[in-house]
Amino acid sequence: MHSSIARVIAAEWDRLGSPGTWWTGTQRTEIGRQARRARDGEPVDDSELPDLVIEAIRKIAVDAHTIDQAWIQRCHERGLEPLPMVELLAVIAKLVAIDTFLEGTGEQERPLPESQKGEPSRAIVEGATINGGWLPTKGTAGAPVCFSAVAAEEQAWHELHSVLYLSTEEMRDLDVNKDGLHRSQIELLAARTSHYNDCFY
Amino acid sequence: MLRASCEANDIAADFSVVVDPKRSCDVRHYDLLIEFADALLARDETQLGKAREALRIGAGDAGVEKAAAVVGNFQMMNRALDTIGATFGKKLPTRVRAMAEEFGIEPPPHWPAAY
Repeated sequence: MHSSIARVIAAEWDRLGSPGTWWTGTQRTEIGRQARRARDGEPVDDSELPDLVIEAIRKIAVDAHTIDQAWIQRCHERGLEPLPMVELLAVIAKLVAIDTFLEGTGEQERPLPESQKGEPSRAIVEGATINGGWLPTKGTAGAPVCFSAVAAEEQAWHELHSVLYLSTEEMRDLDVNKDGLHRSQIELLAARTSHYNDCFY
Repeated sequence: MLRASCEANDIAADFSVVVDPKRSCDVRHYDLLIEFADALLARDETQLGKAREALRIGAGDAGVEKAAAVVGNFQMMNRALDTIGATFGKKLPTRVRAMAEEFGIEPPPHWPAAY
C-alpha cells in the first residue's frame, strides 16, 4: 500500500475511536459498526445508539441517494441536530471510503478501533450556516466544504481526499498522472462510481 | 471533470460509456476500469478478483491501488453531497442540464435549472 494512504488510514482509525466534536469515541465506533452492518445487509442489533440515529446511519450508508430536505428536517425535529448529523455523516462516509479501498486492493477489512474515553469537544465553527444545502456548511454547500461545519472532520476529509483522489493543487491539472492512472482514467472511475450510486453530482 | 480532462488532452470520449458500459471511449483501459469499479461497488468477490487481475495486467499494481482509492473516495463524496444537499451554485448550469438530459439522469429537484 502507498505509504501516504497507509498513514492517513492509520490516523483516521485513531480519530474514529477517539472523542469527536459531538459524539464520544464509543459512539463513533458504534456508528461505524452499524454502518458496516447496514452495508453488509445485516439487520439492526443491540446498540446504545437511539433508534433515530440507527435509522440515519442506515440511510446514509446504503441509501444516501434517497435523502431529501424533508428527511433531514424530520431528523432534526426528532432530535438529531444538524451539527451532530454532519459528524455522523463524516464518520460513515470516511469509513465507507476506506473499507471500499481495502476491498478493492484485496486486503482484509480492518477491525474497528478500541474506543477512547473522553468527552466531545463541542467546538463551534464560526460562519457555518445553511448555505444552499440542507446541513450547515462554511460556504456554498458543495464538495470542498461538505464537512466544514465540524472542523476536525473537515481536516480529516482533506487528508483522506488528497491521498485517495487528488490534492487541491493536482485537481487543477487536467493532465496529471497520479499513482499509475491518468486524470481521464481517474475521472472515468469517479463518474462511474457516482452513476452506480445514483448520485447526480 | 471527465469531459474537461478528455477535452484538455484531445481524448475522444463518448461520455455515454459512463451510463452504458457497452459503449466505448478512448480513455486508456476504460473497459477494465469500469469492470473493476462495478465489481467493487457490487461487492462481488468473484467478479472483483477477475477484474482486479485484468486491471493489474493493464495498469499495474499502482493502477489497481489508485483505482480502488478513487472508487473509495467517491463512495465518500457521493454520500456527503447527497446528504448535505449540495448544489454547486444557485442554478444548475445549462451545459450540465443538457448532459443530464442526454444520459437520462434526473437532476436533484432542489437545484433549479438556469433557464
